[in-house]
Formats: sequence, structure tokens, C-alpha cells
Amino acid sequence: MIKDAPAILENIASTFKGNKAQKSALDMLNEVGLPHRKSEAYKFTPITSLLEKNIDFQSIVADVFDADKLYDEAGSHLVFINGELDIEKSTIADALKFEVAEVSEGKHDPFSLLNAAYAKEEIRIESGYEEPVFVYHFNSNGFTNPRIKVNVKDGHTFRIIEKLITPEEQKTFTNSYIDFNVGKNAFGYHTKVQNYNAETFSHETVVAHVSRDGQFYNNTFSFEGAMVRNNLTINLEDENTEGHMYGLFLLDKKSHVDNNTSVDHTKPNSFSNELYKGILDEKSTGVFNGKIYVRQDAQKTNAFQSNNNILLSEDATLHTKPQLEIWADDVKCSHGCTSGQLDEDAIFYLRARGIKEKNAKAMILKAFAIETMQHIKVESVKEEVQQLVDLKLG
Amino acid sequence: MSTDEQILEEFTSKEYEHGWSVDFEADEAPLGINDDIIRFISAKKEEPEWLLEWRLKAFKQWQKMTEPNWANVKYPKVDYQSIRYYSAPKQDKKPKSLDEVDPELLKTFERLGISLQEQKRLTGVAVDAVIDSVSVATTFKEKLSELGVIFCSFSEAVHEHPELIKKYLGSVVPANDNYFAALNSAVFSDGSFCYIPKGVRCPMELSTYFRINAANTGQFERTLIVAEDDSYVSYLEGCTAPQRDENQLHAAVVEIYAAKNAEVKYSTVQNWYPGDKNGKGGIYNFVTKRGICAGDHSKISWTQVETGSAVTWKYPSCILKGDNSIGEFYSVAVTNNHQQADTGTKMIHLGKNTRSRIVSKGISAGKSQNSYRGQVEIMKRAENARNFSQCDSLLMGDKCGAHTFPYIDIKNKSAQVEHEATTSKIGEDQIFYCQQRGIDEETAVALIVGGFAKEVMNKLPMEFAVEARKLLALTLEGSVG
Amino acid sequence: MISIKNLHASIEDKEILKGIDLEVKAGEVHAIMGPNGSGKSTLASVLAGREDYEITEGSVTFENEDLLELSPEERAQKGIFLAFQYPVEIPGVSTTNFLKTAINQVREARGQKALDAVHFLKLMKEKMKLVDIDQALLSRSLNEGFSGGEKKRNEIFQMAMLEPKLAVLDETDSGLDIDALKIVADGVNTLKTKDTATIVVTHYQRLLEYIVPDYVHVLYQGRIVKSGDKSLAFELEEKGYDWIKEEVAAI
Repeated sequence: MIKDAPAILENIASTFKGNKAQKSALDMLNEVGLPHRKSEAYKFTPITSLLEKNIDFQSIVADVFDADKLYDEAGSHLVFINGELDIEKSTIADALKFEVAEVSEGKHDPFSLLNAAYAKEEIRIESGYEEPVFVYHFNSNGFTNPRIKVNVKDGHTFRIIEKLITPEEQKTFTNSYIDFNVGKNAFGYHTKVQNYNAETFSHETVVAHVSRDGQFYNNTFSFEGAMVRNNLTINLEDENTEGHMYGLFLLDKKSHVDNNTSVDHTKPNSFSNELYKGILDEKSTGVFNGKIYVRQDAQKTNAFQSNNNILLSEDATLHTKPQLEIWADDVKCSHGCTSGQLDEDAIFYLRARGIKEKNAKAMILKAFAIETMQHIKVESVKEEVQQLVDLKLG
Repeated sequence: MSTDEQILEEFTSKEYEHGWSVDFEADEAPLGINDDIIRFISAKKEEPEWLLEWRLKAFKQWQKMTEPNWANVKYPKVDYQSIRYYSAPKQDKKPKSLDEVDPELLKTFERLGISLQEQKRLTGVAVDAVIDSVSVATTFKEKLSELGVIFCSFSEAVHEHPELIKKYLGSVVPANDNYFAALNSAVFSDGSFCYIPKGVRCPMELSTYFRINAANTGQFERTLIVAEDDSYVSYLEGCTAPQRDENQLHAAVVEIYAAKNAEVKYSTVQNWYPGDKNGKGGIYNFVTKRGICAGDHSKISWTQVETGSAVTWKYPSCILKGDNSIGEFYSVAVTNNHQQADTGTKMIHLGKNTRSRIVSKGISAGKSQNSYRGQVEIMKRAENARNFSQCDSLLMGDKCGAHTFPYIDIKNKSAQVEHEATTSKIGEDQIFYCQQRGIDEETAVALIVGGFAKEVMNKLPMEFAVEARKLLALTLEGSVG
Repeated sequence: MISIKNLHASIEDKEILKGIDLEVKAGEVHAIMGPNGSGKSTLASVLAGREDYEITEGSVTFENEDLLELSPEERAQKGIFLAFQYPVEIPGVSTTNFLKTAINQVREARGQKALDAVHFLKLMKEKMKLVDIDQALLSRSLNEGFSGGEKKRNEIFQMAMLEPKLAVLDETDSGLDIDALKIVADGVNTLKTKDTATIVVTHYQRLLEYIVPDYVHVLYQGRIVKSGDKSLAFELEEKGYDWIKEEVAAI
């Protein structure tokens, strides 16, 4: 990472109100800088210049809470307004507000540091709920840094569904950070539905630490956004752990979604599976960068990754970069990616049976997308994703 | 010590076969690089003014550039001022024929298994032999010239065919393309030039054999292959270097131009000195190879067997400009001990119905790091482009690494791109199965690795295939983890 | 020919064979039967020299030589052949190439000259008939994409090519339909001479209708708990293994 774009950092420096821990995050951030035009990790998403061009970091806008956006589902609902938990609107009492603590990881990751430095508070959620927890971010300010730490206790199963809502006429940048600590024999599930608008810019960091016999699942469904960058990192820190990553990016207009995932196998007998599918229409851009690391001790690792894409328009762009880095020898790893257009023969076959072309296409595309949705366990979320897919594909 | 360790030990203590050197009286430039050194090289070669200017310009650009650091390799900083940029075995006068070439030089190549005596050669191969900075001999020149095929050293081509050199030099790899290409453009000393005229199928394999002999000397050769409409040529490249404690730099440039319906097949067996088992010495192999399928229906095919060098940085590429043109890349890269390889290809699809195929087989043993880095780029106008990539890695032992970095960028919806990669360990079950049939462990490994690499090995011309197979078996003898 | 005495073998500190005694003479066919997990395949693997198993006690002599001292390939070179329960796939290596390498290494170890291509092909043609195997199959990568039956026939074909003194057939009948089973059994019977011996490891009696054993041994919990002639095999087929288990439990 090359030091660059001090303009942004300088611009917001005057708004800094953090504690000591945040000051040290800020110092580290100034050291690391923001991604440069040539930064490998942001090769296809020139985030710094996009933010420079579009975002007024200091703009403060009245909140935009809309109760209709909440899922109609039993469970706990946590409502954040511009990065702060609104206890009155929330139905969970023991999600506790904390001051931002000393940064212990991601010390070279500019956006994790940016979040730590400028987050208003740190919310810590512990498992112990039967029902899923829904987390909503209603962000209308120019620059917001929601920060959440989740602890899934040993043996627990815990589901979190997260959603960002921003106003249509307001340019916003959300730089979120969520960290999962998945205990022994525990299961953590995290699902995100990203149906933003042409003014939404976001950088969303998800980090999971998985302990022995634990498993972590992430589902990310992206439909719209001016610039969405997902940084998903799963650290399989002990034996017999599993990491699962499923994603769909179904984009049109000028949406730009960049999925950057990484799974790190550090101990023997761990497993990871990743499936991302992209459907790109109009002038959209999709990026998939999936990294698999298998460290020297991680013998008997099985890691599978697959990324399949369909381009529907002349003006859509796709960048895909799978990456395998392996230092152990007794492993089975594979990754595959494909890109193509709709199978004309299949469409013809359906039309020959009397199905309209438009419907035939939609049918095939839906069938293509559906595989990524099989791990959503919460009914209303499943419905929402299904509806969005139907809406987008007609 | 367990058997595995014993075998690893035995294997890692394997000596490099071509590690000897010969004391020639040499004609050398002083160490270091500056405008004067470039003038010195140019003067030695009695070059025309325009070429000197071209070199000086490249040097200026190089000085402004920084060494790339994105590759997955680590090596101490190269001190460019402690390298000798020109060294040539002294010959009394320029030899007009092989009979006049210093017999010591001929012997050097004999010892490497490369006979320059035409009658002793396989009739199918013409050889250009390059030692340190200069070409010492080219065989079968007359026979080829009857067909209009030009095959000679680069220096000779500058004098004999300046119009061709002027037209094509730097046309595929511009002087400022990258750090090492710029360095090469400034100081390149020799190399081979091939020109296949319209409609000619070159009847024999053309081959260049590179040998680094002198100490502290970098090798900076340049190869240019031009295939006119409807022509065909198969070109082979081989390389070795003496065993020395210090690292030596090899920064070559290869340019291929394929016109309409032309086909160029370029094969490399790279066996530069890899350094000793502790990672001391060895060649830094920083090479830029690129071909352009300029005409419709043209085809460029790269095949490489990479077993040598301490550090390899090499991405033979194809620019598929002509409609219906085809690019291929077949590679076997073997690393052992402390070797590091970052190699792969780029396929840039510009024309309609262009096709590319990538097959990469990486084998890592010892403490080595082996990376595949490839890029498939489908540009906006490349209707119906197709690519298929397959990268497989085989790991031997638990101290090495295999890394895969494929980049796929698509700007045309009609593109069909498929990428598959696997990484696996050489199977104990497979070895045991072979042993149960009476095959010893070393042979079993050679057999299994041979099978793993077969798809690529089959692409090599016959003359090279045998050598390459032997090399592969030798490099990996007994390296079971 | 082979003499196994008080053989104990374990894997990862788990004892699988707990004292096997077995004597096989030239010209004999021995069947080793037993329920799943009794140690049958372990015995076959140990005889072939698989290094995953640790021999903790006992001895195995093969033609008066200590077998346990030898590497797997030395055992093969001396004439021990194991037909694998799960033949291994080797991508890119044809059966022909594989066998040529094997035969010539075996010949070298025996002080014989290497077979040239012509003689090798002649030998191959001859043996192919024996197991009704197709030339095309032999040109394909070893066992890769072969059906279960093709793999097993390929094992017997290799046995025919290598002409072992002692053949150990490890569950060669599993996954074979009756026609394939007959072909395999015919092959084995044709290769049988008064100088060779065969150990047939199987779970089912079915194969023993075609390869008739002189002796049948029942392996259970790592020991041979019962021996008899071929009638024992029929008895097992009829009554299953439970009565054996009960007998053992009673002791």
C-alpha cells in the first residue's frame, strides 16, 4: 500500500473525536495511507479517487429511519442511525455500547483502521438468542463507520442478517466493520442483502475467527450500488473448522460491486467452500477476487472455490481473479471460474416448447442464480432475495 | 532419518550438470552501466547511429523506472553497477565459416551436447550458438537462405538486413515496456534473428543455444522472429550457465511477429544454473517474451519447460490482434531447493473469434516457491473470443509452496472463458502401487511426474522432448515428501 | 513358499493384526475370509510392504528370506504380486508404459536383459487374451476413468504380465458382475502352476466357486480363528459370520 490521498485523510482529520485507542488507529492509518491507483488489492475499484470525487465526508443529514424497511420476522432487531445504535428503536437490550478498543488486527488494512479511528462506538453482541438478529444501518451522513463485534459462544448457533439503507438523493459513504468470533463447535451465519442506489458508496469489512470444530457461513447478495466493496476474511484458526462463502452479484445500470474474499487455513483438517455467481447487465462492473491460503500446518485441507459469470450487455465488465496460495502438501484444492453468455441452445429449446424468449432467458438466469441462495435459512430474507432476483430478471 | 528425509537429502544434493566453465580470453566491457558503456557495446558491434540512439533512449527511460515488485519472488537487490554488460570470447577475426571458429568454442558446445558441425547435427535443426554476449556460430545458413529464410545472429542482421530490424525491433515489446525490457533494449548484445518469407514452411527447426560462461556477466540477448503471410516456423531455445556463487542476471527479450495465416511455434527448455542446495548463486531469469498475431488466422504457440534459474520472472504472451488468431501457452515449471518461479502468460484478445489455450503444470519440491500468474483479457471488440485455462500444481514435500494467480478481465459479453486449477500432492498410494509392481521409488516419481506433465511435453518438438524428459526426471529424482 | 508367524501389525498405535500364523506352499490356493474390518486387507498390504503399518511382532519369510526387511519393489521383484482392492489412478501414464517400466525393472533385478519393444508387445498381446482386455484400454491413463470391472481385469492382466510366484488377490471380486468375475477367475486359474501360490482375500464365497481354494481361513479381530477346507466357505455363506463371532466370544 502506497501512501496516498492525504487530501481525504486531512479533510476529515478535523472531525476526529476518538479516544486513545482510536488515536493510535489514526496514526497507523496515516502511516499506511489509502489505496493508491496502482494498489493491487484495489486494482479494479479505484476507491480513493471515487471517494474524493463523490463524497462530502463532513455532510450531516437528518436521519432517514423508515420502519417499513425492517424485516417482518420474529427475532431481535438492532437499528443503527448514522453509526450509532438507537436503543429505543431496537428490540435487544444487551447489545452493549462500548468505546472503540485498541485495534488488534488489520493493522495494515486502511479501511479497518479508518473505521476504528472514526467509529462513534463499538457494539458488542453475544449469542444466546434462538432467533436471528437483524442489524439495520440507516445512514444519511456523508461518512459513517458502523463497528460491531459478535461473539458466538462455544456450541452456539447464531445468525445475523445485516442491511444498509441510504437515501436515494444523498451521496453517502459507509465504511462498516463487523468481526465474528466463532467459538468451539459454534456456528456463525452472516447474511447481507445489498440493494442500494446510485448514490451509495460502501466499503464493508467482515472478519471471522473460527475456533475448533466451528463453522462460519457468509451469504452476500448484491443488486445495486455506486461502488460496493466487500472485504470478507475467514480465518480458520483451528482443526476441523469450516468456512463457507456464497455470493450473488446481479447488477445493472452503472453499479459496481467488488467482492474480495479470503479464507485462511492454518490448522489441519479444515474445509472451505466458496461459490460466487455474477450476472452483469447494462454498464455494470463486477469484480471477484477470491483468495485461498493453506498454511504449512494445514495438512489435509480441502478447499474449493468456484466463480461463474454471465455477461448480458456489451458494456458490462467483469474482472475475476481467483488466487490459491499453498504451503502444505497434503491438500486438495481446486478453483474454477467461467464466464460466458446465455446458452442460446437452451433458450431455443425453451422457445421451441412455446415459452416466450424473455421468459426463457429469465428462467435460465434464475436457475443459474438459485444455487447461491440455498444457505439462506431465514424465510423473510430468502423471500426478499428471491423477489429482488425476480424483479431484476423480469 | 526417515526414508522421506533420506530421499529429500539425496535429491537436494544433486549436482547441476552444466556447472563447469571454460577460461576463454575475453573481450570485456568494464563493470557497470552508463552512456559510455552503451556506446562501447554499440561500437563493438559497429552499429548504425539510429540503433545507438535507440539504445540510449531506452537507457534514459530505464533510469526513470523502478524494478517491479509485484511478483511472488524474493531476492536481494541487484546492483546494476557491478554487472558486466559485455563479454565476448576473443576471436582473432570474425569467422566466415565454422572452420574458422575457435575450436575451443566448438568444444564448449560439444560438451553441452550441441554440435555445431553440420554433418554431425540432426538434419532437422539449425543452431545459432550464443556465448555470453555474442553469437559464435550459426549452422545451416546457406541451406536456409535458398528458401529465403534468414537465420543469423542479431548483430549480423543489423548489418545485413537493417530495414527489417528497423521495422520490427521494439514493435512487439517496446523499449520502455517494463524495467527489464528497457534494460535489455539499452545493452542487448546479441541473439538470433529469423525471417520466414511469405508462403514458406521452414523445413527445419531453428534453434538458439544460450550459454553464460564469464563471471559477473549479465546476458542480455534479443530474439526477433518475423513470420510473413502463410509461413511456418518452429523455433527452439535452450540455455545453461556455469555454477557460480554469485547470482547472475539474464534479461532477455523475445519478439514474435506473425502475419496473416502465419504460424510460429516457440519452445524453450530453460536450464540455467539454479543455485546450490542452500540457495547460493544461480541465475536471475527476468525475461520478456511476447508475440503478436498481427494477421488474421495467425497462430503463436509458446511451450516452455522451466527447470533452472534461481529466480524466474517470465510471462510469454500473445496479443491476438488478427481475427480468428490463436494463442497457446504450454508450460511445465519445476522448482526445487530454494528456487523461485513466477511464471505464466498473458493472452490479450483484440480480434474477433480469437482463441487462446493455457495449460500450466507446476511442480514444487524442496523449499521452493512456484507461482503461476496469468492474465486473460478480452477486449471490447473481441467478439466470440474463447479461452480455456488449466493450471495444475503438484507438491512434493511440505516445505515448498504452490501459488496460482489468474487474472481474468472481460469486456465483451460474447466471451467464453473457462479457468480450472487444482493443487495436489504426489500420492503415496500412487507410489506404492508402482512399487508393488517392482518399480523403485525414483522411477515411480519420474513416471508420475511425467504423466502429470505429459500434455505439455507432448507439445515439444521431438528433438527437445527427449532432453526435456530427461531433465525433468533428473531435476526431481527421488524428491518424495 | 511363505511362512507367516505370530504377525502383529498396527497403524497409528491401533493394533489390527494380533498374531497371524499362516503357511502357504507352492501349488496351493488359500482363501482368507472374514467380516469387514477383521484385518484381511491389512494382511494383504503388510505382505506387499505398505509402510503405513508398523510390524510390532512376528516374522514373515518368503522362500527362506526375511520378507519384512525388503522394500515393496524388492518384494515385487522377488515375485509377490498384490491385486489391489482399489487400483490407483495415475494420470498421464498409460498401462503399457507403466508395465514396460515395471517389467524391465523386475527383469533388471533378476539379472535378465530388458525386453525390447517388439518382444514386450508380443508378450502383451498374448496376455491380453487371457483376461479379454482391449488394446485401447491399455493406451489410456492407468486406471483413470476405468469402470470397476476394467480396473480389476487390468490388475489380473498385470499379474499375467509379471508372472509372480505368490499372488495376493485383495477383494478382487468386489464390484464385479458375474461375467467379469468369471473372466477374472479364469485368468487366475490359467496362471496357476505347481510352482505358484495364491492367497485370495474375500468377504464372499462367490469367487471361491471359480477359484477353488485348498484351504479356507477365517480372520476375525486380527486373528485366524478357524481354518478348514473349501466346505468352510460354503458354511460361512450359509450361516454368515455371526456364529464365528459367537464361537470366539465363547472362548
